[in-house]
Amino acid sequence: MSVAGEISSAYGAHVRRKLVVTVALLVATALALVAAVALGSADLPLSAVAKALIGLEVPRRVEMIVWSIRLPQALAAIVAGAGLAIAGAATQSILRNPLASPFTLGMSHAAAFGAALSVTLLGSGTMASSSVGAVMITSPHVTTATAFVFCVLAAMVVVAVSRLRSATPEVMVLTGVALSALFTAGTMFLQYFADDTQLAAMVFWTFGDTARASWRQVGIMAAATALTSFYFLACAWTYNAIDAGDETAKGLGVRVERVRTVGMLAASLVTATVIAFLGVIGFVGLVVPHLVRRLIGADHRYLMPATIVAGALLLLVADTAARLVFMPHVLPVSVLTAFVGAPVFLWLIVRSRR
Amino acid sequence: MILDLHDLAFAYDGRPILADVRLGVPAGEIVAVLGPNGVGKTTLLKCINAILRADKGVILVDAEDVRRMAPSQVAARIGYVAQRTETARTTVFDAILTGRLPHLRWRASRRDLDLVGTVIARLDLGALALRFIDELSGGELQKVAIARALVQEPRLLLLDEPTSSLDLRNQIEILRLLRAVVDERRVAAVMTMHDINTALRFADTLVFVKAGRVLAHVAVADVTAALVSDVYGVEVDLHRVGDLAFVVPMIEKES
Repeated sequence: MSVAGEISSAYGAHVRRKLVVTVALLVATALALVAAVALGSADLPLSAVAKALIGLEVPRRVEMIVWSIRLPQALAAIVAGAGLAIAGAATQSILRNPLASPFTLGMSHAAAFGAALSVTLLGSGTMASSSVGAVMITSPHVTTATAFVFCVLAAMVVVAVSRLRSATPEVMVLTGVALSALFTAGTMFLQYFADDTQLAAMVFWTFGDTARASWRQVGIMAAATALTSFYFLACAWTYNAIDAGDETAKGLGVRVERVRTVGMLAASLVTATVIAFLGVIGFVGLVVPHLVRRLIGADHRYLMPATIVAGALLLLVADTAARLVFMPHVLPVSVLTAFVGAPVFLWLIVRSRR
Repeated sequence: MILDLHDLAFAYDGRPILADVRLGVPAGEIVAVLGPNGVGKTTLLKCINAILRADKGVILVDAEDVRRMAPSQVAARIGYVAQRTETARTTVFDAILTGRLPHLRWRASRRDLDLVGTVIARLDLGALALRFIDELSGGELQKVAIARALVQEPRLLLLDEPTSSLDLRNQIEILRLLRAVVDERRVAAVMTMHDINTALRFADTLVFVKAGRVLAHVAVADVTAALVSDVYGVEVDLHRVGDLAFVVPMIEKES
């Protein structure tokens, strides 16, 4: 075999390894889904769960728990995890910034403010002091649209700052801190003028929690995640080119500014949709792409799909753990992702300084 | 002619950078663009491949107007090696494969992969093919950048100071390689340079840029000390030994 032939076949083996990792993540996610539906404060035998999932006849109580409570929550975790992770991978790539993610760039808090504004002023939700679903989103499209508008606003500020010559990854994160502070203040402003019931509902609502998602909301989130994932997958080659620097990418025919703007819009869409329904869930978008890059490298043709699956897996496992750790109390998953994600974030900062 | 420039002009924020630039480069020729810092050498390269939009002028590659092409069409004809290349956690093979972007739909074909394999073998990068590029040395990284431009299968190569960050051995290796590729494929190359002696050794013709204009476009044999002195504002001697020419600046020793 010629040298060139040997090189291509070695490369083939290298690619197959990435595919194996991705398939393994997919299988793990499927297993985690079954576990997430089977485990919880109400004890359900695994056989009954399996029967309920494939539509066989089971006791009414089992069917209720599986189909109305645990499955929508598990699917919400999968869809939100996938969406936040791919949005994180995309922002890291198009801004060439390892510390980027919707959460660290302030886009998440902007979206949360938008959603809160929509619920209080535009009446796209009702507030009550019930334990689950303190805020009922009555008009999901208005809520997500408003969240999206503010998320895009923050994203465009980020893009504008990133054009400055002095925009290091740290400067971008500081921009995110400023934006987060601004939009958190906005949310507090709304809370200050809310009555007691509304206030309790809003505070509870800003915790990132998968338990409140309805089937319809899971459907909307799935549509947003699928749409943006498809777009980001289609951009894999251009993101690979941007990895070599803007100049090189332009020399390869990439319209870098346009790719950057559209990419931030797409990341905003999925972030805003997830946050409008579930609240702010931090660090998933930051950490998952880094983990996947360590596993299979930064080639976006493989990084993007693997990040989608790994994000789904990670948030599903975290969500299941959050339900089980303090049983019968249920922790919002955002608390758990922050406990794990914040130290990883610190580690990334320390490492990027070297 | 592979490259034909007429009357090219470019201004940045109303400040003229390039004016009235003319240049013709036939197949098999390596052109070195020389001139003082900030004179518009890099700008010239970026105008040729339309990364920067020239204000006026005609840019023809194989008699086709670059300014009327979509970016991907330009990239299919002109390979560009930027002065700085960033790294990421990608393998050498993957980094070079991105050079196929102007020719790809989505899937990399057998031919794309074979082409990358061939260029890797040609540039002696075989041992590094599956190494991550963020672990490479400056010289290795520059080879990867050139390999990426080569798999673009361009008619014209533009290189912005391809040897500026390299040691002597790597400089020679990179420029020999460029010479061989230009000769083998009958393409053309335009590179900016600071080291006039390296340019005299490896280029066929030299373009001297001063204050945004092409002062002269001459064959290596026709370069004179007076011309070099005029461009850089430094007194120089030009020595010729056989086919070789080299320039020595005349610096009076302080007593």
